[in-house]
Amino acid sequence: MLEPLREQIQEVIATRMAAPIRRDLVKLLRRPGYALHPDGLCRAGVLALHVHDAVSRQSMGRTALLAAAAVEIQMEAAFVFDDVADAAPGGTRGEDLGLAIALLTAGAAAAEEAAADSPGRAAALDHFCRAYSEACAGQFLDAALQGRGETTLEEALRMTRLKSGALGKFATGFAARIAGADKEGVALFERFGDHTFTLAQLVDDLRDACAPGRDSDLAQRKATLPVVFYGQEFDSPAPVDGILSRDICNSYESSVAPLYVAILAQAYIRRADEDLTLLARHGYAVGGLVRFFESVDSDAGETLSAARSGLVA
Amino acid sequence: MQVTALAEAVMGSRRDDGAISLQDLKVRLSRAGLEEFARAVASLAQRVKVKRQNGPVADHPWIS
Repeated sequence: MLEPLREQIQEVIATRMAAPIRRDLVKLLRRPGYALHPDGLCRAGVLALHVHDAVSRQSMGRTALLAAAAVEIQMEAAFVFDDVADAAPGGTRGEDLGLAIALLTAGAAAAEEAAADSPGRAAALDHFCRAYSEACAGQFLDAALQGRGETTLEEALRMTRLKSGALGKFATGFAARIAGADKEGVALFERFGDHTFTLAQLVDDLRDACAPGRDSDLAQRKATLPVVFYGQEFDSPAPVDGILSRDICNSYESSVAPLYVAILAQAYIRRADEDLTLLARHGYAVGGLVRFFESVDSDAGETLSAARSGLVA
Repeated sequence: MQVTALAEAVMGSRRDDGAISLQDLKVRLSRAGLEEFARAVASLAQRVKVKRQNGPVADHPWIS
């Protein structure tokens, strides 16, 4: 599934992007963690392919691959933004921002072509723009809350759901509309995408919360749920110089912040599981989605097991 | 999702030794009408301990 998707992404870049930028775009997408790197996961694109398959019950055709490439390219643009936002102050990442803008254009071009023959073309493209703008709002809120401080737990969850849950909803909703799902089915696929990506983000936030030095979310005073909860448990949890000591990390690890977020993540696992059951009852072929969800759940296993260590019978 | 109510229940279940009582937490959540979280706590407690066999995940599994 990954190789045809990567080939489609490269074709979109080769045919839709201006010649002077093509090689740089491919080079960017070959960096570790990005779509064309051998270890790149392409979560959004793969999820979109599974959704299309669940609705159409057909093997990957050009429309499905284009739809998957469209959502994956948009997600890659979000990764670039994230990298630039997290980079040390004073760095020169202007070139990457230029490439991120180009990726958004490439994603839109692929989406337009994927939707061309779809009966719900207008609705699919409307969703493509609206749902992605929710994820953009999440990225904005993430940066704004980090600068502001004193974030509430409600604000942290809202930001998490917007920046990641909305990306899941974006990918599943677009693929479901392109494949011709009915209104109820589209809503169910969107719920599944929202819950799965929110779950994965919570687990990612648990992993990135605390480590000695200046790179962790706690050192950078990010507004993620583990950091916000820990900040409410202890006053001034992170030093102002941004370097986290081993003592602070020990304090975080012995706090109940990891358990708190693990309970939230587990609640999202249950929600996504229920979504799959409803999709199956609705008659969709959910085998691929079940395997996708199992890989996300398995990836979360070690982190959630570690977070529940403070729980006793 | 009532994240503040969950936070209060978790903090309230903390014992003197710092551990969280599973039973106490489940009862607090149920009494507060937070059944979804009560079920999540039970599921979390039942998770099989997993040890990752592969190397570190790629830099961008999700938005950081």
